[in-house]
Amino acid sequence: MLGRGLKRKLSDYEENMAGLSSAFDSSRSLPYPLKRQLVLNMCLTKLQTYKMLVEPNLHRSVLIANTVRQIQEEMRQESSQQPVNICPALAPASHSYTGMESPGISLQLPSGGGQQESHCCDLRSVEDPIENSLLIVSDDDMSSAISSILKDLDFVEDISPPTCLVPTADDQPKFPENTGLKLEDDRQDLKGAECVFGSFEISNSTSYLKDLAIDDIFEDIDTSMYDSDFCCPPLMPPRSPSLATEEPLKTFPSCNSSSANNIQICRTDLSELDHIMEILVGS
Amino acid sequence: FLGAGGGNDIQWCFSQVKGAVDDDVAEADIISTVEFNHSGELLATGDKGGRVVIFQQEQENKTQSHSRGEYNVYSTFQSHEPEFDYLKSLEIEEKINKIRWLPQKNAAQFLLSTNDKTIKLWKISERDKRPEGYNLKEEDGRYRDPTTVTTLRVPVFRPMDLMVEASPRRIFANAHTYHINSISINSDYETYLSADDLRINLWHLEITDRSFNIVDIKPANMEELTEVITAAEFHPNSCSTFVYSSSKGTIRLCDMRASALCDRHSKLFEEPEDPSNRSFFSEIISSISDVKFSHSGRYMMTRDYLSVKIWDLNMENRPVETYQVHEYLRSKLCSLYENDCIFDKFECCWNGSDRQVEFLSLCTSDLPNIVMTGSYNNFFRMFDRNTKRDVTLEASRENNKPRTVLKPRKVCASGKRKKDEISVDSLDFNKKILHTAWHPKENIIAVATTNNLYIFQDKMN
Repeated sequence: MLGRGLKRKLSDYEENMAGLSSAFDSSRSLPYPLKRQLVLNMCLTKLQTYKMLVEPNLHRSVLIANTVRQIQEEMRQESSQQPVNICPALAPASHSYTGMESPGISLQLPSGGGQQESHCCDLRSVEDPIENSLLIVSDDDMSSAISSILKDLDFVEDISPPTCLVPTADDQPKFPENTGLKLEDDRQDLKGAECVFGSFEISNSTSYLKDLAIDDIFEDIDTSMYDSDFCCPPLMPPRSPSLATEEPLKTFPSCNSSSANNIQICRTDLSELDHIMEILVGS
Repeated sequence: FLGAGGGNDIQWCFSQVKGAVDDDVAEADIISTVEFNHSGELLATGDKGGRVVIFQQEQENKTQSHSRGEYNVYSTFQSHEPEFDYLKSLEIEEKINKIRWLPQKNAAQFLLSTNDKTIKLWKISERDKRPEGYNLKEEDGRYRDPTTVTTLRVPVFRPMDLMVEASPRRIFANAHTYHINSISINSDYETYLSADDLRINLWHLEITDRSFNIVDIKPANMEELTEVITAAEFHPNSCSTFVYSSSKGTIRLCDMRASALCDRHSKLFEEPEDPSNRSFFSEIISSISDVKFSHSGRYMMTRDYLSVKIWDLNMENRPVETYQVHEYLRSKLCSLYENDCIFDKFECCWNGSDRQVEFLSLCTSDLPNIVMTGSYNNFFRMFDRNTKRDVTLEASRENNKPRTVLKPRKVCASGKRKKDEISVDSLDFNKKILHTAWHPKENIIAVATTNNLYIFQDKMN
């Protein structure tokens, strides 16, 4: 269900971007920071899309990452020249945006480094449709987007290492270093392996999962059967100290024991279930 | 011998078109590479479905002196199959990225074809005779009862219908972690190089179980990666020299005699950026998509998104000539970035040449010197280095009357569109010509649209 919703949103976004990029190309009056923001958003969207691919294109990823770095550097330099942190509410006072008349606009300048609020804010303006579609992105987000896509491209090297020519006296000093470097390479490859598998971790997946707390994900699963009220009776005294540290789920095997209490509990549940079924079926 | 230049512009005529007619393009039929062999008699194409189709030129007919021989299908074979890398859970595309012919040494023809990961050496041989008259076998292959044999005879070869067979002779696998973008055969005809995004390997044609790594630009930490290799080629005469181009618009010339690992270049060719043309997309459009040495080896040509540049190997700081392929796209870069067209990899090629004449000639400017490259809307461009004139032509079935000269096309960048001009906004960016090839000796060109192959010849009087 969520997948479908995401898809719709993406195609709307794509249509929007097509309109925006032709606006970029044709309009001379678009202020530079806005153009830059537009390009940045396009880059990050592409990188995000590539992350979802099984095998992103290395050439394109590098080119896009470089563009993001370039914009990032430019923004950093600009912000280092403007020590005052510009608050969203005071946007009309910002001198970077002299070209824009619309009072509803408030764009947050990323101020680089640690001062930055790290969340993405989607600011909307009723008047200007261009700002409506722009995501304001922080410096940290840019760096992490570049890092993560490039890390994921670090493949585990499963090939046998190419045979090196036997080093002769004439070879440049770099060559003997190669054998030493090889160990580091192996270590790096291991790191690469971790990175490849790292993308399977929840922490690297889409922001949807990042935003939710772990508990929320399991909200819809009914765990009432495993609540401690039901499972405490079967606890056997010698095991109780270790059991106290065990997770609730681990008491499940004890529910299968032939304790009379348990059977009674299960039977109660079953009759309740029957009752519910009767209501549903309407008999 | 090509007619000397000096003002006689070549007039190109449609000759043939190969491929399906309907607009619905099957993905597997998308042409991914085109290459003439060393004599020009054979023309090979590779497609996204992993197939290689070879066309052969008919022997010139004395009665048909108005046109050169036509190209007809000679051999078709499946070069690469889709593979699955179980370790990384990745599908390996069967698309043929490049084909390179070996010079002919005997009756058979050899070519190298490569997909993203594996290079294969194919032998294409003809069989037009077969042995007949075995003593122990019947004509249909059944074995005879030896007791019925009363006389012995020597089997003889008798003619049969021509059969062209392609067989894989070598498979060079497991040497590339990243996607192979180039292969280039050395002038020693014994070794060749293969280049992927980060590494270049040197192979011996006879040895498949190992290769030498000669360039490695992979950083220790992938997060520091800012540049990839986009193309590589051996020098046509010097067997220890090769060049490779990068996504940052630089070309490095390396000498394998200098060290085992050619991470240090001998020469670095780079043009400083024009500040007036600076944009967010400057780096992306500077990425070089193809590099080709001239036949003499004195020059090399590079193709980036908007231009073709000619470099003199003796001058590293800037190209000697720059030709704008479709400058009108400079104001559309954001849209082209959005729809990914900005990443299209156009190839380029030199006109054919008679190398002996080129060497002997004291004044090479008399020899025709033309470079060709593709564009959008099924347009392709030719730049004459001698006359400095250029022309835009179109590969389209509408112009398919043989011996009719192709009409030059013109794109209207801005302002009022003249009659017969096409405006930039009407260009079809799905119709791109990425692959072109020029016959090594004659004025015959092969131009690949998405799924069709066009052959054009110059008008013979």
